[in-house]
Amino acid sequence: MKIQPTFPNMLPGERVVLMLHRHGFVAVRIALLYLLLALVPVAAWILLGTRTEIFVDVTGVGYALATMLLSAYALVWGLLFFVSWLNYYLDIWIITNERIINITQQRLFHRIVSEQKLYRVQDVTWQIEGVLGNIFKFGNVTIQTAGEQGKFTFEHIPDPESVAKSVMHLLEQIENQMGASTMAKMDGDLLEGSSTTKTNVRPEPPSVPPAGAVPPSVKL
Amino acid sequence: MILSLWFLLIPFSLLLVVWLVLSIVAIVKMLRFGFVSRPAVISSFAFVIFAVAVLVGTTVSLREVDWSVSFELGTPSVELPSVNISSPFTR
Repeated sequence: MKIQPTFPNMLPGERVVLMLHRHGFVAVRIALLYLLLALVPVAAWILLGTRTEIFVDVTGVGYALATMLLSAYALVWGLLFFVSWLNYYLDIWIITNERIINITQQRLFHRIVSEQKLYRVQDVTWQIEGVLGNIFKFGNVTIQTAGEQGKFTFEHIPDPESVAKSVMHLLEQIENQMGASTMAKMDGDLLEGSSTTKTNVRPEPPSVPPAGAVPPSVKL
Repeated sequence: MILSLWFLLIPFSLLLVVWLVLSIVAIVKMLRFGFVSRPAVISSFAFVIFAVAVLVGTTVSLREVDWSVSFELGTPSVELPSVNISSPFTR
């Protein structure tokens, strides 16, 4: 039985269609960099052990200093590695049957979350760049919307073509449910920015009931 | 300037405090915003294990150190050779 993924603050009747992270190749690149940095204290330990007598006298100044420096390097290395992994893993793009959510963890204390209703999507573009992108099939998907956050860019995601097709398929479903004329009218209202948008009742897209079992809720 | 060896523990302790605060913040963020998924939990657990291993290893290594030993700052540990420079303008 496949469990439907969920996330906090889901709308009633909302279901997750896609939950995307960056391609694993990005994580491998980060890991390789930190693997190289991990060799520095190992090399220092070997050099100090073979070329000096620092580790012979364990009560001396040199031993204490070398131990503290190596320990400090290891702790800072571990923390920076974990924070790099955190910045990679917490970049999430969620596409539901009702909206697009773009979550970007820029730094440890800098997180940007933006979302937009699916019916405001105007354009979907996907691209694959570079040799590695073509070999490992990862690239970018750019979604142009009619809102303050005009553009959503999904960066370095696997198989961007199928992601773009999924978004287009969802848009077709919404258009079929709401009707093309209603969609055009809503687009017109958004472009004009007229006061009639406050008085006209803009119909919300009907929520699609979740298929399958009721998903477990996620507690923070 | 003559200092006792335990003086070196002060900046090391300050580093440990700052590191601990940032580590806790990072783990809380990972578990909170990672939707308690398997990679988030495993990576957090691995980081904690690694950190504990480093701290335990450091504690064991530094236990043998005689912290009452003094060392002198500013005194070079290598003797430089003396150089005589005679001025070409003196007779």
